[in-house]
Amino acid sequence: MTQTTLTKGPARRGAGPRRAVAGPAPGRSDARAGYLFLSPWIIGMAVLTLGPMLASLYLSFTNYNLFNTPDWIGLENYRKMFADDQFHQTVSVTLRYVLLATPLKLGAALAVAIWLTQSRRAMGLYRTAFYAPSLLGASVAMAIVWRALFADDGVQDQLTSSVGLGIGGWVGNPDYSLLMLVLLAVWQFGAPMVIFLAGLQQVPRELYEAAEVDGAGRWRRFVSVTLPMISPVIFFNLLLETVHAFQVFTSAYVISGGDGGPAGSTLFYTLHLYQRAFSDYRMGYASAMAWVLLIVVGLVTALLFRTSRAWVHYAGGSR
Amino acid sequence: MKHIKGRARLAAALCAGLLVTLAGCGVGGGGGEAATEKTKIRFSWWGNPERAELTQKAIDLFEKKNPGIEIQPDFAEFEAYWQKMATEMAGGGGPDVLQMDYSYLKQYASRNLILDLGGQASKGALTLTGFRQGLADTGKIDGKQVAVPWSGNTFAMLYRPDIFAEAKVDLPKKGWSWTEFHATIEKLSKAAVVKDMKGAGDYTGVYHLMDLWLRQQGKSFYTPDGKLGFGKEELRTWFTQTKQFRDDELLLSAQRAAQLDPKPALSADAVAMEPNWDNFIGRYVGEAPDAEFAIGPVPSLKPDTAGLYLKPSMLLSVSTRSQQPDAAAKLVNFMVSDPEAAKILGTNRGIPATEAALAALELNDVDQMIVDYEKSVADLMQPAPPPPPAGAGTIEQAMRDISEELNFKRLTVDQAVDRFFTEAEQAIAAGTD
Repeated sequence: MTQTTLTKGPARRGAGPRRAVAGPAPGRSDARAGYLFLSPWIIGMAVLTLGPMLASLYLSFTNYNLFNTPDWIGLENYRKMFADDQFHQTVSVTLRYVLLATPLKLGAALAVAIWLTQSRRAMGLYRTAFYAPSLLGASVAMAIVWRALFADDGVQDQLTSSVGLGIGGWVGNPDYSLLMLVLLAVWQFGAPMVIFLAGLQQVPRELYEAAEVDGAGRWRRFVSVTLPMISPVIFFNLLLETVHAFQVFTSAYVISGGDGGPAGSTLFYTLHLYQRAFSDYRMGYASAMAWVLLIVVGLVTALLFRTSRAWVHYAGGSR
Repeated sequence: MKHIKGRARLAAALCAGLLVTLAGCGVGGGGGEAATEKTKIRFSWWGNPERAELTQKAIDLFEKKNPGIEIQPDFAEFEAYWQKMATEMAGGGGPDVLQMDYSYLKQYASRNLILDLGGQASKGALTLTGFRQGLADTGKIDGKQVAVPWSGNTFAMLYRPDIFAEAKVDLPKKGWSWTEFHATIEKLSKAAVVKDMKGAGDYTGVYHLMDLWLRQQGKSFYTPDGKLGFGKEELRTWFTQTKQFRDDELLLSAQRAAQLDPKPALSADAVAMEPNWDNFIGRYVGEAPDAEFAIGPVPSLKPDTAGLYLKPSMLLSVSTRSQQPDAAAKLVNFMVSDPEAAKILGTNRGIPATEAALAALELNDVDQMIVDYEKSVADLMQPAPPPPPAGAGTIEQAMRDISEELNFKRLTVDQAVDRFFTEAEQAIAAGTD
């Protein structure tokens, strides 16, 4: 969008004389300059992303341990993968994480964003404060703090004990350790919150006023005005956070010390992939795992796009 | 429009400038090499900055004694080291001299990545005698000297004598049986000298201890050709040994262990005994300076066969791609056998592999404790098992994970046995491809 306005503006202004002198040449040199500016990205994309991706697609059909020449084995890696119990365990752990973390995180982000749209004193401070966890959250230090919070006699243990649930710290408990990682993700709701905030501020005031005149209460206004109006933003956030949740790695890697424990309860797909690739050097198998993840995330995204037709409302669109 | 063009030109100029600088660097580097004509050896090891400092001092001494050779050192943490090594070797590069681990030896030797140093030894660049008991042959695979042991250690029962004294429990002694070991665990756990302190953790997750237990029966964890040396029945017996203790909560709970991780339970007042390599005692003393630590022998089925052996904890290998194998062998020899180098390196990498290097050391209390222990069990020592197959690291981890799941009561013993065999066979198959 911005690109077209930038180039069209000056072109229209100087259209008359320029066309007479230089003919179509400026267009071509524009393109050349454009590609030149793009070149760092294009080179990076080709060399650092597309190339390795194609290589990994090839390797996924081979037996490759870094030392041998890749040996073509067809779909063997994929067949082995689906026969492996540990693979099924990692899929179930990851799906549970995605299904819990994504909606909870979006819910928290939306709730706080709505609260923050009301004008209060020191609003800027609150916005910064709620965004701060997202800056800290991905760090190794935060994962270590999280471990301490959820240890025996940690903050969580004391809280759950005070309401009569003496289950101990969640770090060492395979029934709850995943929930601990979900909470770590939910706590980092800052990025979707900022996007929600922007979306909420775009909702025309007069819609609320009209609804109020029609006798709609707070909840009614939220359901009938706010939600449809910000549905494109919800869709965007949902898409982004779902894809993001499938790729969860750092928190589990740091909190479990890299082994996905206790008892495999935090052995995420990506963590398992990492172990297969860099502990076992089964590069072919790990590449196959990476491609299955890519395909699954692609399918989930396509599915979300398909359902979006039913519930995403674009203002000014035909629906 | 003009503006954009101008910027494009600027960008192009910047790019061109960058290229010229890069090219310039290349030329400069080449010129420097030609001028000095020193033999350059790349030397890689794993370890921490403290080890790096000691190693650098030893390298400085080597360069002083061998003015024609220049060492280019680099190091990384264990896991990162092997990732980098695999990538470099796969790309056709890699260092001349590399610190080797016993569990990687077979993999590197079978891929013909490390040199048979027999030739260098017969030329006199390398001495292959004077190793401590049983270590001499640990660097050989199929008769080829693909590595030279640099340090060695032995498995042991590390324990807290202060806790034993307070609980009035007999200390681990030479020739003690598994039954006595179990009784000791029970007494210590019931005494709970420190709140919630147990006698030991569930040792069935410790793969090296199971190896010793198998060796005591004349078997081994791996056969010489790299297959599993035991069947499901043995593993079932092994996992069942601690079943009653798990049910009665007489062992360190998996929950507590998971919370302590990566802190070891022995130095965290959570257990009073831990089967481990004897050199770990140095770390524990450092972590818990107020506690007392001692080293005792492992329990055995028959008093005279403990299955113990001196394991090379670190070795040195030379890459088959090295252009300077003689100079590389010289460096290996210096690091392993030179008394002055030994003095500098101390026991940072464990107790030295050669008698000459050990004699040159001034031992501190902890080192002395390790040396004394190894002497005390010298008559029980057997030859080391052949290096484990390529998937051994994965199998060691699987053993730990499965024992943990037993403790969380997520698996029955039968399920645990089946899962171990599935995973181990997969890992071995993947390693031999």
